[in-house]
Amino acid sequence: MATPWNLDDLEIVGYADVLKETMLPSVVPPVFRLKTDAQRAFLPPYSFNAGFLCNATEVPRSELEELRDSREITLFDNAFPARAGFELWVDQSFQWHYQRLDEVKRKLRAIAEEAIRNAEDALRRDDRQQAERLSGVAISADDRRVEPLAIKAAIRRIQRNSTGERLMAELAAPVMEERLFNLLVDDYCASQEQSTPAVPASSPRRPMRGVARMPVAA
Amino acid sequence: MSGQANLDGLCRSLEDYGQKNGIGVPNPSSGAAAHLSDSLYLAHSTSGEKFSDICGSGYLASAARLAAARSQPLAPGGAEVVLGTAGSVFFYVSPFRYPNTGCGFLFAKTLESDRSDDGVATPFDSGGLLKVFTRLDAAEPPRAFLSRHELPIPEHRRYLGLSMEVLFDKPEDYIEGLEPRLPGPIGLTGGDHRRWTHEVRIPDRVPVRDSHLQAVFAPRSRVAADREVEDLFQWCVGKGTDRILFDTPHENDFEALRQECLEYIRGKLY
Repeated sequence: MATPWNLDDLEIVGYADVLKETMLPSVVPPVFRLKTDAQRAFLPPYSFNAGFLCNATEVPRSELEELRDSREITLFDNAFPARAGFELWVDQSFQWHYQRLDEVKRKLRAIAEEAIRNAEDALRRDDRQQAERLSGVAISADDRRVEPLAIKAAIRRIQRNSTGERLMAELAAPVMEERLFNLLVDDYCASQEQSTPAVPASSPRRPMRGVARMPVAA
Repeated sequence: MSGQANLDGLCRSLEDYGQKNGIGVPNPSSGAAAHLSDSLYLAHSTSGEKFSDICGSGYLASAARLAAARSQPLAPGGAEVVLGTAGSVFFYVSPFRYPNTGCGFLFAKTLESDRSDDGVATPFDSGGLLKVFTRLDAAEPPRAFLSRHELPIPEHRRYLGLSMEVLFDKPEDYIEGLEPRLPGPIGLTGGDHRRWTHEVRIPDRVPVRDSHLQAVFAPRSRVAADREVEDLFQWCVGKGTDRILFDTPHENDFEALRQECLEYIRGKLY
């Protein structure tokens, strides 16, 4: 079994992933190295136990550079000290943060909350592209939230993509039973229909329809 | 020497090895070993970012092809360049075993039958020859050692079946990643279970949206957040291809992927 390492003896040189925009925000596994010997680095999989890094894979520094060149890890320009109870995460602008676990959770939940709110607004405006993008942000920030999946399912239904809608229900299945998920999707579809001024040419335009959204004349 | 001659020689040396160790070697292998070696899937796992690119392009591509597309040369000291394998797409004939990956594809054995003219197998992970495994004759160039062990596909599964039967306590141990009871005649030491995991290499690129695709594995959040990944999973829904969705602990995505794959294979093949 690999030696456990005290986090006080380690510093962080990067993370064991390469991210693209659709993966953000994201918690990432740090790549560590010994403070006293920069040639000895540690990669996941590993676990943490009482301030110790356990069962990590040790690699020489040269291998880190190879892994970076083959797009398997991301290296920082400067190393910084590792700390017990802290987590590394990357925000939507590719900026990394190293913060206490509870603070990271709070921030990611807040990002998910705001992204869901904005995705709902975008769907009501029929800006589906923006609604999809924001749903992706919400899922990346908090993968237990079901609303972004329902928003995407509603978009797939509007697009008459029944396979896509079914896939979203499959993704939501561990969090919400199908009947409730479908109700939520119905609700999002209804919200989009109510606020979209889509009047078929053959239908007479109802008086006053849409007036409430018109800007007030100066 | 041809791949078929390598295979015949290797099977003979395994039979001799078994006899020296007091083990009778049925050739061809029988029962569970024959079934597992004949039906085991080809595994290719990768990072979330590369997985998205693969879903978007529709192909697994070799390192050489990817480097050419980026107009960047491959690092001259890299294992694939030194061994002359950079033009290939790599698979393990096993569950996912490449560390630091979080998504993956399993292909059916039919892929090997389809590519028997240009694909090749080795009874170990070729990349380990450079820095990880130790060879009996350190003076032999790694490329020559590799060439001596290149086997035709899908016929290499004959050696796989024999080694499951002779070297392991039970054939399932190969799949579970448990150490073999006996090291075998190849003479490699060091490294991990990739020392005895069969590798298949297919030149240039391999299409993903294809009848050989057996199953796709990805974290639930990846499928939900990435349109390229979602599109591939939609294709799988339409074709009835297995889709394995799972949640991941952030410091150990590979372990989650590995466990999901093992569960899938146990359910299908045991």
